[in-house]
Amino acid sequence: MVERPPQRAMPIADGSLLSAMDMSTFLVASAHDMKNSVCVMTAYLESALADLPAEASSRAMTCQALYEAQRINHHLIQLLALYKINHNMYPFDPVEVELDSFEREVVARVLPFATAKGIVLEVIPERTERSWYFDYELIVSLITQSLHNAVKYTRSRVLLSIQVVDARLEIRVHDDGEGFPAFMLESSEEAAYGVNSMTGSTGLGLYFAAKVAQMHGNRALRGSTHLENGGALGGAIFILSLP
Amino acid sequence: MRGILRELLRRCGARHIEVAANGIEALNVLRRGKCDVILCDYHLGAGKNGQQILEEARHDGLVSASTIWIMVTAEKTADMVMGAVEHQPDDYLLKPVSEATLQSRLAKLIGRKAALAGIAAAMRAKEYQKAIDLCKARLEQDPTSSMEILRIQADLYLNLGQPEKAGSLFDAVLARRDVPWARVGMAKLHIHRGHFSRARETLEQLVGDYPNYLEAYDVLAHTYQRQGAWSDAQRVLHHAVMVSPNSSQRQSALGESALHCDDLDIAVSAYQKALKLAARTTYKTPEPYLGLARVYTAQNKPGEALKLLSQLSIDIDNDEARLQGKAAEVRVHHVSGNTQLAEAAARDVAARIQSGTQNLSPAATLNLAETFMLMGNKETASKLLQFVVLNNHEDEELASRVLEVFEKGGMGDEGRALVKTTRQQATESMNQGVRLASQGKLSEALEFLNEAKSLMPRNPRLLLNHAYVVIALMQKGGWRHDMDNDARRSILTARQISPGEKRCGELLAKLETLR
Repeated sequence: MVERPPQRAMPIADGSLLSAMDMSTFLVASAHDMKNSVCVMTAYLESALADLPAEASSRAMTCQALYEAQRINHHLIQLLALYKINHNMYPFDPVEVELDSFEREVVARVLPFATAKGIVLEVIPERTERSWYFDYELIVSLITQSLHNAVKYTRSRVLLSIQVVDARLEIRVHDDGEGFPAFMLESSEEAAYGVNSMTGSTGLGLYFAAKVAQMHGNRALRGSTHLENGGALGGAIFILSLP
Repeated sequence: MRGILRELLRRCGARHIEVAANGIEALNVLRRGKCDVILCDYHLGAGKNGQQILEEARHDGLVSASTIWIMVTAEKTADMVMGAVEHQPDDYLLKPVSEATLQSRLAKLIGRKAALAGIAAAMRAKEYQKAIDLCKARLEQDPTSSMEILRIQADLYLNLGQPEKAGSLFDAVLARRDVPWARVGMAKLHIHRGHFSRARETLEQLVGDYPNYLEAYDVLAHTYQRQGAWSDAQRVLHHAVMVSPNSSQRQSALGESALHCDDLDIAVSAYQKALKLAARTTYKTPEPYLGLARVYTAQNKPGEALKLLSQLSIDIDNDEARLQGKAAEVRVHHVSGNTQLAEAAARDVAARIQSGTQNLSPAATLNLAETFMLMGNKETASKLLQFVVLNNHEDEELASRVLEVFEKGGMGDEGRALVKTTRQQATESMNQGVRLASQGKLSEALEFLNEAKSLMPRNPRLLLNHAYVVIALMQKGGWRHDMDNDARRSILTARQISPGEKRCGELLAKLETLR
C-alpha cells in the first residue's frame, strides 16, 4: 500500500468559519498589502537615487532608505512564501535555469545598493555546467537576500560563485567582513534560526534558506545550506548546495 | 505603479511608450498599432485580468509572433505554473521590478523569443506535427534549453495521440534527474492506457515527495474519479482549489466529486464558482451547468434546474450542449413527476441523437435510454441502445452495460439478440470498407464509408478509416481544401470520442505533410 499524501498538511474545511478566519488570514492579507506599498517605495527610491548627483549629501541617506525598504520587502516575500510552503500552497516548480542569466539577474538586483555603498561585486566567469534545475523565484529570492547581507557586512568586496561540484550546484557568497559570529557557526540549527534578542536577528533569512534548500531534491538527495568563515575573501561565506 | 514602469522603460532605452489604465484601454492601444514589448499587470482591478487580456489580444491577432508579453505580478501563483504553454505570456516578472532586472530579463527574452515563438504559434494553430519538428530543430541547435523544450515536446506527443513517444521522452528525462513534471507525465500515460492503480501509485508518491507540486493534485483527483474513489477525489480537489481557486474546470471537478459523495452544499458552491469563472472567458463547457442542474434535481428544486438548463442553451451556442441540456431536462421532468413534459422532451432528444449530427457520450445516452425504459417508452430506448452499440461495436464493457439497461426494461432476450446482430452489422461494414480500399478502389470505398458514416456517425474506427481513404485519395489526386476539411473533421471527432487512439496522431501528421 502506498503512503497517502500527508494529511497534516491538507487544510480540510471543517465548516467552522471562525477557525478559518484566524489571525493568519489577516496577517497574510496585511503582508500582501504592505508588500505592495514597499514595492512602490523601493521604485521611487531607486529612481531618486538614479537622479541624485554623485556628490549630493543626501545620497547616503537615500541609499540607506532603499536598503531598508528592500530588506522589508525580502522579509515579506519570505514570510508569505513560507506561509504557503508550510500549507503546501506554494506553486513549487523546479525548472532548468541557465546559470549565466540567473547570475545576471541576482547581481542586477543587488548592484544599485552595492554601487551606492562603494562595494565591489565580483563573479567567477568560468563554469563547467551551463544550467541547473531549481525553482527560479525561490532561489533568486534566497541568493539576493544573501548578497544583500554580504554587501551590508563586508568591508570592500563581495564574491558570488556559482559552480557545480560533485554533481551538486554550489552557490557561494563570500565577503571580506568580520565573518559570522561564532555562535552562528557552531550552534545547532534551532539556535541559528531562533530569534536572538542580542543581535536583533529574527532567524527568518536562514530558516527560509534552509527550508527552500530542503524542498529541492533529486531522488534520495536533498538541498542544504551551510555557513563558514574564511575562504577566498577571508570573511563570511554562505553556501547553498542543490542536488 | 504605471508611472514607475514608464520611468523604468524610459531608462532602459524604450522610445515609444504607451500607457493604458485598464484592459480595455490596453486593447485599444494594441489595435492602433503593434508593440514590441508589452508589460501587463496581472491584477487589473475590476473586470478582466491580465491573462484574459492576453488571450483576447492573441485571439484578435493584436500581437504578432515576435511580440514579447511580460506579465507583472505580486507573487508566484499556481496559474503561472499550471497554465497551458500556448496560453502563457512570454515571462512573468515579480514585483518589485527594478531597472536592472527589467533590462537583464528583456535581453534574455529577446533571444528566447526567437527560439520559442514559432513553436508557440504552431501550437496555437494546432499544427502539432510542425511544432514537434520545430522542437527537434531547436534541441539540435541549442541543447541548453533542452528541459523546457522537452516538456513542450512531450505535451505535443500527448496531444497528437502518440503516448509511446511521450513515454520515452519522460523516461529519458527521468534517467537524467528526478523531475516532477516528467513523473506527472508518466502518470498521465498510465491513465491514458487505463492503468489507474499505477497512475495512482505514481501520483501518491509524487505528492509525498513534492507536496508543493500542484499539478499532481489535479491529475491525482482525476485518477481517483476514474476509479470511483469520489471522496478521495473530493479531498484532493478541495486542497487544490484552496491553492488555486481560479480554474473553472477544477471547481467543476470538485462539484462532480461532491455530488457523488452526496455533499450537495459543497457541490452547489463549487459548481456556482465554476460558472462564475467561466462567465468571464471564451472557453465555456456544459459540465458545470449540467452538474448543478443534477444537484438541484437531487435537492428537489426542479424549477432551479430547468432555469439553469435554459441558461445553458443561451450561454453555449452549439448543438451538442443544447442536446445535453435537453437530455438533462428529460430527467428533471421525470423525477418531478411531470410525465407529459418528460415524454415530449424525450422524443425531441431521441430524434436529434439518431440524426447523428448531434451527439451525447455513450454513458449519457445509456442514462437517457434507462429513463426511457422507466417511462415505458421501450421502442425509443432500444433504438438509442442500438445506436450506442453501432458506434462502439468493439467495446465489450459497453455492450454489457447496454444489456443491463435492456434487462431493467424487461427486454433481456430481445436485447441480447439485438446487440448481437447490431455488432455483426457494424463489423461487416467495417470489413467491406477496408476490402475496397485495399483493392485500390478508393472512390468506391469512400462512397461506401460515407454511407456507413450516416449509420454510425460516432464510430471512431469507421471515422479513421474514412480519413485514411480521403488522405489516400489526396495523395493520388492532390490536396483539396474540402477534402482536407473532411478528413480533419473525421480525425478530430474520433479523437474526441477516443482520445488514446494512436492512429489519430498518425493521420493528422500525414494530413499536415500534404498541405
